[in-house]
Amino acid sequence: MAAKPKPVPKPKPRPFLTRAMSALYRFSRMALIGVPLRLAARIRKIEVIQPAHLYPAHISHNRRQNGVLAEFERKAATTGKT
Amino acid sequence: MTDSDPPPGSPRGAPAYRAMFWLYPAETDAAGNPLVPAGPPGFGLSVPINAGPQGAGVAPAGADEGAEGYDEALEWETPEGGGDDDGEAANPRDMDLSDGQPDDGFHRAGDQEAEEGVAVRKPVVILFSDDSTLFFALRLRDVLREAEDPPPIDLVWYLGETALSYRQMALLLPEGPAYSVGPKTLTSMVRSPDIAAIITSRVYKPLGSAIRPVMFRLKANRPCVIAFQGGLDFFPENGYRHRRYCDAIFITPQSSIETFHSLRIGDDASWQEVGFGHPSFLHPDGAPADLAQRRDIFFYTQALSPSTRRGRLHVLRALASMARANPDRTVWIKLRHLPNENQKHLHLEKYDYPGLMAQMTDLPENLKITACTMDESLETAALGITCTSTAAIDVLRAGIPTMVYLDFVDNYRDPLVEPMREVFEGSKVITSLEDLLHLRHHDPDPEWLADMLCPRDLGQRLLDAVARFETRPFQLTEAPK
Repeated sequence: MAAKPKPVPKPKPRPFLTRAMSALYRFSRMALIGVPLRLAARIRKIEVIQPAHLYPAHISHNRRQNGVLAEFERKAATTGKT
Repeated sequence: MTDSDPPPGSPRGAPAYRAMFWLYPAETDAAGNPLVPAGPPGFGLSVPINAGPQGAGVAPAGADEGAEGYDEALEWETPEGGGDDDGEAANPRDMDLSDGQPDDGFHRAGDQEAEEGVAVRKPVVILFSDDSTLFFALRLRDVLREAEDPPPIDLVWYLGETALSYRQMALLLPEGPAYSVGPKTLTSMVRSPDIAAIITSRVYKPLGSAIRPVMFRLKANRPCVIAFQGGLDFFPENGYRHRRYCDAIFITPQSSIETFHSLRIGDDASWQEVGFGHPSFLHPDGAPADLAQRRDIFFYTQALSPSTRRGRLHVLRALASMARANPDRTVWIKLRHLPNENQKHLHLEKYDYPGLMAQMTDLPENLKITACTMDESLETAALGITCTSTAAIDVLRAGIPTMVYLDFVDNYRDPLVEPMREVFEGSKVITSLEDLLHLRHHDPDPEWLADMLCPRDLGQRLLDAVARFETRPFQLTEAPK
């Protein structure tokens, strides 16, 4: 009697997040539902509304760097050469 | 030959496809050898792709598959002296890959020498598709040429993911590639018994798929597939995974070899070696002799960093101040590519420096833009500055003072800053804005340098790995027919 063939294993389901993101991408390509999704994605990328710019540590970092540069420029302007 | 037969040098295929080759037959030289693939203008290349002294000892292959947007219908081959007895050119679709001598249309290594009874030397193939991979290919070619008894080296253009402008191709590789391949031909090349090694800094999808099966990797008489990292790899684990089925993997820094083994990413079902090195990561020979006389400062741009417009304007302001404070020097902004060039590149630049400079007023005259090659810039550079570019390694390799500036405005929005800081931790080349403006550079830490930059015998070590691969134990040969 011939040996029973081994059952073909079912493919492993993709992780939930991967499936959710794929679905989101698929929806975003649709004619009607896709418009607000694509709009939201574009708004999310606008630089000036990024919350990271509002963190105190980040504000002080930018201020410090601009301060160093402004000081160097001021000195260079007064002395001609630093 | 009947009226219905295609002319010599034309491929088999659909009638409409064949008709194109009636209209546009292959250009041939006086001896009847094809110079350019047959086909309509606009497809493939308009210049002989095999012109030039590329790959000594290896005759041109002419395995072009059309330009980007590869289409199966456009696949044609006009190998020199190739084709069937009836004059038809070999078509890669007709290949029999299992018989050890595929009629795939590639010119075999040293065909001419074999005919003359001279020992045949298999060529080493280096793949490229964009500017980064072309830089890699050119550097590796130089490294291999320095090895003892170097083999013929073919720079092969992979068309599946091409992102090169004509300006870049003409500037970096005026002699042209040895030949070009599309995804299907690349898969065939991996099985060719006439190529010693296929070396790449990016494991293209067809290549990765072809080398994945264990039985394939155990196969005898196939090229050794060697993968390098693209450059500075900020997320190396992903890169290791992409390269895990390659026969040899060269990574940097040296300490990461241990990490590679500890992660158990490598494949234990077949022969594999992990080595240290990269053609751009060679240990410096020492500072250039004329360094003290040099006056040029180069800022090496990166497509992604700084990621915001404000960050880039801050860097530009800093460079302008530096130029103003040092009128006897020239501050060059070295562009990786021109604006609107390389729009299909993996890393697309959002705010280009020429565009930002056009919006700025009162820029000093000694702040200039250049699109020269990295090697050209290193010939005159007295100091190299970058944010998160691999260029930092190039400058270190040349023995030129290097500054890595990561404290620019909005750096917290840049995902590459922290990985760059991690890679250069302990190097002493990460520079504050004050030091940058006053041109106060520090010598790199020798220990860090020895870990990051490999010895200059990389080419020889690579060829030794290929030799070990060819004599590895447990190789599968084809069953007799």
